[in-house]
Amino acid sequence: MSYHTDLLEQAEHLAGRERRRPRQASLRRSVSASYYALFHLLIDEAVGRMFRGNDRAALRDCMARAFGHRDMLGVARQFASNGIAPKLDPALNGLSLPPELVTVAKTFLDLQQARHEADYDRAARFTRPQALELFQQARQAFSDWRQVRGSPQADAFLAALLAYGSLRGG
Amino acid sequence: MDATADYIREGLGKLKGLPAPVADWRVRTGEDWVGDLAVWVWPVLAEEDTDFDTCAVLREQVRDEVSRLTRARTGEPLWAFVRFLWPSDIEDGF
Repeated sequence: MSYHTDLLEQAEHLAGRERRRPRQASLRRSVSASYYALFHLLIDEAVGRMFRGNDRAALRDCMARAFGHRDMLGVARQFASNGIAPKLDPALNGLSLPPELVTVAKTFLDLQQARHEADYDRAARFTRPQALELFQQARQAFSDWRQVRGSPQADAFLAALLAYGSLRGG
Repeated sequence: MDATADYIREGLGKLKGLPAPVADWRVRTGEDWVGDLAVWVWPVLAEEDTDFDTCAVLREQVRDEVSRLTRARTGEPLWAFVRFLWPSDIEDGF
């Protein structure tokens, strides 16, 4: 099992704990795990596309540290709204965005905000169904990603998650 | 008083053809974690057995409507974070 699938499994487990009265700690950790499952899936896919082979594992781990939440947010917003910035648009080579990729981007935005509230906003309260729904959104994003991975648009998305802030032009 | 939230709530209340009945709408505006304006919507579902697929469709409808409403009001569409509340959540005091 990969780290991201372990996190997804953990998100479901934590959302289902304490059958009668779930603790906020369990639900919040579930929400956080759902976000990090998708976060690490995308990073794993990105560095995996860039550097293949067992002898590049250390390089992949090193490059994985270059992804930032805020930069990824900016890119996900563009893909979620179908509003690709001029400096990134040429990378799509005129191709339209597959709806599954748009859904992945939207889910990333939802989960990232929820994770921030779950981890830092002590006034926020989550219900079990909400935690489960966020987990299901993450699981659906995993499924949607499988539909588009390897496509030029998905590769553009992954590359932008890492390097959009460094792109020039537009 | 959050006038924009009231405006959005009123607009959402007029939505027709929803995939699941909504008993109430809770809405607030605020800043997301990077400080950008956003909208939070909690549709209070009328039926306990509303499933994930139905919620996914409803979420998109709500998001589209919030985008349309905020664009009409301010010229700038806002992103909506949609989190559902089920009847049992309301019974639990949410």
